[in-house]
Amino acid sequence: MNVGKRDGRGRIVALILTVHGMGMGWTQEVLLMPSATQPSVGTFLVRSQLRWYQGGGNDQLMTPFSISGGVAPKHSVGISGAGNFSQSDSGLSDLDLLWKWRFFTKDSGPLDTSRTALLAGLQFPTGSGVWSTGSFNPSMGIAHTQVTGRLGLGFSGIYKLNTGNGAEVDVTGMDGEGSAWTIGSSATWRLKPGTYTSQTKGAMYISVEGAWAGLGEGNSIRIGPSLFYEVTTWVIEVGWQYYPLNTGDMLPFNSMGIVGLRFFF
Amino acid sequence: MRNVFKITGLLLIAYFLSPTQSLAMGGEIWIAEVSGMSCPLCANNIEKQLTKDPDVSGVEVDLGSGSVKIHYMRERLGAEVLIRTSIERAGFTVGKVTRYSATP
Repeated sequence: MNVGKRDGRGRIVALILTVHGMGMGWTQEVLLMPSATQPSVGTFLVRSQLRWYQGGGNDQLMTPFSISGGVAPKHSVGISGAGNFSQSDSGLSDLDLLWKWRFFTKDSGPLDTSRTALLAGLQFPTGSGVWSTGSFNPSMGIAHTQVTGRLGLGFSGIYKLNTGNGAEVDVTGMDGEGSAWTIGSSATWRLKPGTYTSQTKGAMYISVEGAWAGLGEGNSIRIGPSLFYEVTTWVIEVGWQYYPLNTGDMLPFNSMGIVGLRFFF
Repeated sequence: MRNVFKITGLLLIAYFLSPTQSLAMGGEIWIAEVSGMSCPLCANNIEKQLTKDPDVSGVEVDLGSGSVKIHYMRERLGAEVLIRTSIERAGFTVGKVTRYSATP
């Protein structure tokens, strides 16, 4: 399938890629799914990834990036976008403005925490050609993060309303034309150190994350492992996702490799 | 020779940052118990908030014990409230905040 053509399918891809976009979270956030953690007031987190979508005869590179910052206690905002490179076309995805409100926090021990956040966003049709949805698309969701000792669990659900021309996009949305649901979960385990000490400055995590996405008549499920190493000012991450389900030929690829960096300042 | 200077420099830094020395120089040290610090990035988040106060000369986050040690250059009025506010703004729950004493 050629995603370089400016056709309905190309636009679907543009939307689903942004739905699968990068979180703007914080600690122990897995590679793709948003978490309920965030930078504090006046601090910023920059994330950048290189994703290689494979399969379907048209490999594609994507370079998502985001910057987020704390604007008030429990509130952060961010903006994200991506560059896309396929054999037939290249261009920028739409920009997404994101807001996160961590409305629930319960810290039950030195390391243990439970946090829930409301997510809201607006996608702007700033992308180029096939990489743009061509419409302003609001989104709303919720994310929960639970850390108990070395184990972290995450859940999230996001609904993105595609306000664009349904006929052109050529999908029947679940709750609207071409709109999308993404429901995901993740589990993270701190590999090293097993126990924190006063000298601890870094930690390595292994995680598995997965998500179901529904877009129009199609559904997809992705799942895969990742590994990330976190110190006080940066994180390096590597992961892989496989798509065992892709009904309605929704996605023109069947797996994705990811490497990424996060910087905190 | 260069190593001698390096080691001397490090020793001097350690000496001036040591709790007893901070106290001897007219400063003070506070220790806060903090919950929810599950990762190294959390430590930096807390440090960033606390060092916004120009009177803070150093912050040591101990993920192992869930405590944060705050060094002030001089005696700081309302230190406990400032510490609580800063750590809460960083997104964490503060427990006991106590002034460090060299002679318990």
